[in-house]
Amino acid sequence: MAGSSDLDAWISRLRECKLLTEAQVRTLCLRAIDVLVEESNVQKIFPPVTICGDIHGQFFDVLELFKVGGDCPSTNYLFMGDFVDRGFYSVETFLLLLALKVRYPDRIFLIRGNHESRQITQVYGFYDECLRKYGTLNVWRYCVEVFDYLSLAALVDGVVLGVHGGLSPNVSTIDQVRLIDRKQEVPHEGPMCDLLWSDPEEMVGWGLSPRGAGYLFGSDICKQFNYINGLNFIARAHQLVMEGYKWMFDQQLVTVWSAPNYCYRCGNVASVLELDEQLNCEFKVFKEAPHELHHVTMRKITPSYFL
Amino acid sequence: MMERGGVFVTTPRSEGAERMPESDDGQERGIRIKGWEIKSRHSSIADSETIDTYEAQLQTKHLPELLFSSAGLDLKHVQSQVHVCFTAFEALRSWKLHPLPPIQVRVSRDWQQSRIQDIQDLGVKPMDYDWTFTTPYAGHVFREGYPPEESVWRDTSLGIDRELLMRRDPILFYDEFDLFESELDDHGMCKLTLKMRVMPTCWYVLARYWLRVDDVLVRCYDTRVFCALGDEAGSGARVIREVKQCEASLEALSRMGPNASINAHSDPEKTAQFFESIAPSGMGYFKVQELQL
Repeated sequence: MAGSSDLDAWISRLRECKLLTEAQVRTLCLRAIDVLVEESNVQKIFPPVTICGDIHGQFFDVLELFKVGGDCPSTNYLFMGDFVDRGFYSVETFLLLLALKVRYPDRIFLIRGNHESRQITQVYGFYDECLRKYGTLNVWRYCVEVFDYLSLAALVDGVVLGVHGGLSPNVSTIDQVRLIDRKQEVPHEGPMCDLLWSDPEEMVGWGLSPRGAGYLFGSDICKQFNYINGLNFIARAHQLVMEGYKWMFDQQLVTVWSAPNYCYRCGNVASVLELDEQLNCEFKVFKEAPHELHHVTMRKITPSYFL
Repeated sequence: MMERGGVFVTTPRSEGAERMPESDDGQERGIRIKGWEIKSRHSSIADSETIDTYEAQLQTKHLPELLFSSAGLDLKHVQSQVHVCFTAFEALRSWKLHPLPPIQVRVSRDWQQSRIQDIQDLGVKPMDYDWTFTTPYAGHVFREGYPPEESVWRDTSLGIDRELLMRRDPILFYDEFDLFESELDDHGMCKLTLKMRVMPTCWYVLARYWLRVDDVLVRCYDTRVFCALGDEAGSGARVIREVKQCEASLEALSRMGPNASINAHSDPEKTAQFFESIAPSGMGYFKVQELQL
């Protein structure tokens, strides 16, 4: 088992966007599971804490995020999932956050997003990236095993709920989230699926996505949930917002998005939400790191005799 | 951060063409050739204000996350003042005007089965709109100073001169960019892409709407517009448009081979090649028309 000096060496290596060996990843993931298995479905967090939304493998933007928000462990962090897929550095990004988690378990909190799943990563990049970078699927297997242990939500000072997607009709109190058996692949049924997938919508009541799967929840649902649970507001991620964050429902819910220039071409800014000891909110907005830019120039237009 | 407008490959003057002045923001470029003014414009993704405007004008609350609202192509026949254009707004207007029933994702049956009681008890309202933004948009045409006409395209037995397009004539001006794109909330992908090339004897545009719904279906709607250039004043130019709509479900794919996979369709080119390889099956619509200049 790795000691903290090993961990520090791995963290330094990962900060340089260098890969760990397969054996090191295995050890790190096993250590991470030991840490995560002890955590409740709803992580209890004390302010100050900086809340982050989707990252999606944009490694250099995570470094930018740490520049803007303060480094870990001097700043406390809550990452609300979707660490992997889409970007070019899902492996390095997820493992850096995971190594920080193992090293500073009370300073950084990771909750699960809908992309932390075997099924989704096989379609949206992480699976292919592992195969490309390691030549085998072992690293992907170690990582998806860790995904099953990630918490589902976080509660800051009892009054701010962090969750990746949103609410579920099967969850009217936060205690009901605590009862979920989370150690499994993200299922299609039940509240665990809803927490990771649902979206707020300007409407009244509950809606069913036109896709035939996925709940939409209206302002009354959100307000009622917050009232029953004594929440100031819900912080969630899951949806791209051009300005980096977006309040809805009379400031009862905020979407936080932390992947600037998403997929290297959206041109959006990103943000993190800083909650101080008194739970005052301040959004730190940031742009993509210069390092990520060269991927855009790689997409230079090359004339072709297309038909 | 954004790529700038289209690229000039050969110095245009050498082929009786000339560059048009670049727009102040550097996002629009163009070329004059044989009585045509051809401009392409790139844009960053729409900001919230533009999205609000689109939502109001299109009467929808749902737009693709990546909406390149100012991007577009404008090909103007100077003599007749006729423009052939491609924009995201008009593409989405066609989407709204020709609504398709919403596709159900692969897990929808299981998802709803396991929640049947909740859905009833809570009075869950099903949303009913085509979330894939499938659009039959094949460009739009107008004549300056006239209201838009429907009848500017007439059926023809002429086709696109593919032999001419296969020739390795110099490309004077080239561009490719997207008008919109959506990740469909992690259920697949759709995008509307434009490609354009201008050569000494013709110009050619391919507008391709592409959709993959994971484990459900793929769609590829191609609009090809080809112009055989006329004389220096633009007389004698002929514009042909070919519209082709293809679709294949996982079931249809499975009938063709044991290793059918929707998710292998990772980009529009793969899907287009696939439909070419199985043609004419998969093709639901095909039409060739000529523009009345």
